[in-house]
Amino acid sequence: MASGLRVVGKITGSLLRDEIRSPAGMFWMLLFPAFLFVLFGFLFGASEIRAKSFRVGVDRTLEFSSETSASVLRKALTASPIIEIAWTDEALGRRLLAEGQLYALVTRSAGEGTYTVLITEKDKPFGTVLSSVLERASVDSVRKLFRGSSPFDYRMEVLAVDGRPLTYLYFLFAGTLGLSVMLNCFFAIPQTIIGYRRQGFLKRFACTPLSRMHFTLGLVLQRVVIGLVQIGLLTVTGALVFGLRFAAAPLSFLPVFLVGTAAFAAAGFFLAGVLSTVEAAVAVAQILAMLFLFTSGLFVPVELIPHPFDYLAVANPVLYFSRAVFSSMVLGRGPLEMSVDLGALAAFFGGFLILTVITFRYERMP
Amino acid sequence: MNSSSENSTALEVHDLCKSYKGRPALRGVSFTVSRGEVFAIVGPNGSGKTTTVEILEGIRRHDGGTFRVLGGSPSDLRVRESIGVQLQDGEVMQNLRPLEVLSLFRSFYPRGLEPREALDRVSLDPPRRTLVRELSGGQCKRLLVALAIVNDPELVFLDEPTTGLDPAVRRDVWEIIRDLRGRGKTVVLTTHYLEEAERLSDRVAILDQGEIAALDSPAALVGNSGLAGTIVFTFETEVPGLAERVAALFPGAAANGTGARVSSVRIEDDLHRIFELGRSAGTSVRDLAVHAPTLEDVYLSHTGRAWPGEESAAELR
Repeated sequence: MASGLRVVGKITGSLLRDEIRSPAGMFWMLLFPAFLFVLFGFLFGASEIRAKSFRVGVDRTLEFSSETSASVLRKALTASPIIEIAWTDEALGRRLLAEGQLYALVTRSAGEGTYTVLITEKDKPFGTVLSSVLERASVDSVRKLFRGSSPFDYRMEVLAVDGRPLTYLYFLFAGTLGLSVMLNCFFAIPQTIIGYRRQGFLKRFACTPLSRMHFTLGLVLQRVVIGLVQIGLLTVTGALVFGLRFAAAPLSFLPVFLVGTAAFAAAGFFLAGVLSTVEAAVAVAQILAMLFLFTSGLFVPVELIPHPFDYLAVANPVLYFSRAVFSSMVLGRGPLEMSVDLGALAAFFGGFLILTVITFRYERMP
Repeated sequence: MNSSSENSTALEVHDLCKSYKGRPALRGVSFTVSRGEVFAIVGPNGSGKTTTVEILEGIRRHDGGTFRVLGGSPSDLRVRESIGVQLQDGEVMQNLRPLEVLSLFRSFYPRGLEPREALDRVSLDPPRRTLVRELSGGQCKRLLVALAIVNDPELVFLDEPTTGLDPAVRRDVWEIIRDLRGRGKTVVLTTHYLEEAERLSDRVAILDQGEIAALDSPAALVGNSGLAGTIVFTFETEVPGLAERVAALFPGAAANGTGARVSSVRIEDDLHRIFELGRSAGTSVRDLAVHAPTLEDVYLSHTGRAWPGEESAAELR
């Protein structure tokens, strides 16, 4: 048999050509996500961010302090749906901050009711978020002050000298990338397989000396190539149109991309196994895609998703993928710091893979 | 079977059976095909032609019987590399160019023709940038045949390669098949055009309702049928109940309002009957022709039913 890798490359190249020469395919795969990104970016790009969860170290002595200002601070941080408190001492907190395990560290300053917020240079955008939370706490404390309570104040030590505020655009970027990769695999794989199955191409392929694994690899590789083009297109669009700056190079999130692509591809193969018409594949994929998008945090913050849809958010791979994209590209986190999101994506991959192995057949041999 | 006969046999099929949801599609089909032979399987739609060849190609399961393709199983890599397949309903990537499709399929095999040569052999020369989806029906069929020969196979399966093509293009495809025979290839051809089988094949198997009704060379099938010829006639005026009256005299004959087509064992006797029928119906014969018997007559004599013909087959499809 001819060299396996060369043949897989040939199949991938042919599949790419087949898709690239289809105007509809090109629009939905590449232009539509970029169009959405630009549209929403211009509409809401300057909006305040609504992040998901940021870990903030707080001086351990404040955990049980009876001081009003400490109480105000605790309440403000605890009430924020996007902040997770890690009680720590200052030395350990500074180390964790330096290691990138904390987004910020809140310590006591000299005067009572005065606090210092430390953030690292790369997390300066997050400082904007934290400031807004603490500003509200400050306003609360002033109100209480009139009722005889102690004041609350803070100053932020921003080590960053370069950086931009973390705007909605960064979340839009991550979410759109999630949408793109989902469309790329979840939509395209079942449509491709079912379309080829109905055309008889897969049957014709079965008459050749090649195994189905060659075609599978060729198809997955095709989606990977298109996904990489999507990343490039969105990154360049973000940088050129909106001036986005990323904490890491686009390829630094390759592990996230590969795990996410694997999860969505497995889901796509599963759909191709249980559905028999392109129309059904489009309909089912659209319904699921709508649910995934709605519960992904791209349009509505996850914390505000009404019950019982919030349960769907937990079972939504787009949410974990977008969050991992955000962590890696915007905040420059490494794989270890995204272990929850990567683990969730890997679990989705494993689950869909098992379902696919059980249900998927390229052709039901009559 | 000894090794010399094994070497000279491309296909050996014994008692092949297949059912779909309990409905038998093949009922013990047996035949052999020698190397270098053009073997046609003819039959109306639903007779089991495609089921037979797809089992032999390894893309359909069989319920009973045995078969060997080039001395092995179609799942053997050696066999897969040595057969070429043109499926009846097979299509290829619509947005590729013919040369690109051929180049892709050529890469699946360790040896074969240059893609350009495969195109030349089927006389397909579309503009360089033409995509598969822009090809005409005839060009598509030629491309599918080119795909079947791009690995320079020993054995080629062609499943209804001319269905839906106009007569001129059909004849072009016939030339491709003749060229394959000239190169010593074994060709298994399915068709519901009897004329095609008669002109192209060394031997013909007539498949009817999943069984082989007759199998021999076209000349032998016609010669051994005992038929003297076919009489086609038309009356001057419409004859009420003509179909029933003709059927009573000539079982299996095809009739319309004013005329009929009759397979005849004794021409002279049957001509008398036809003229008598006209007189008794108060009319006379307007046109009459006597043709030499064909495979269509052979089909009628073996099955007792008239050949459905191209139009009927198209309707069935």
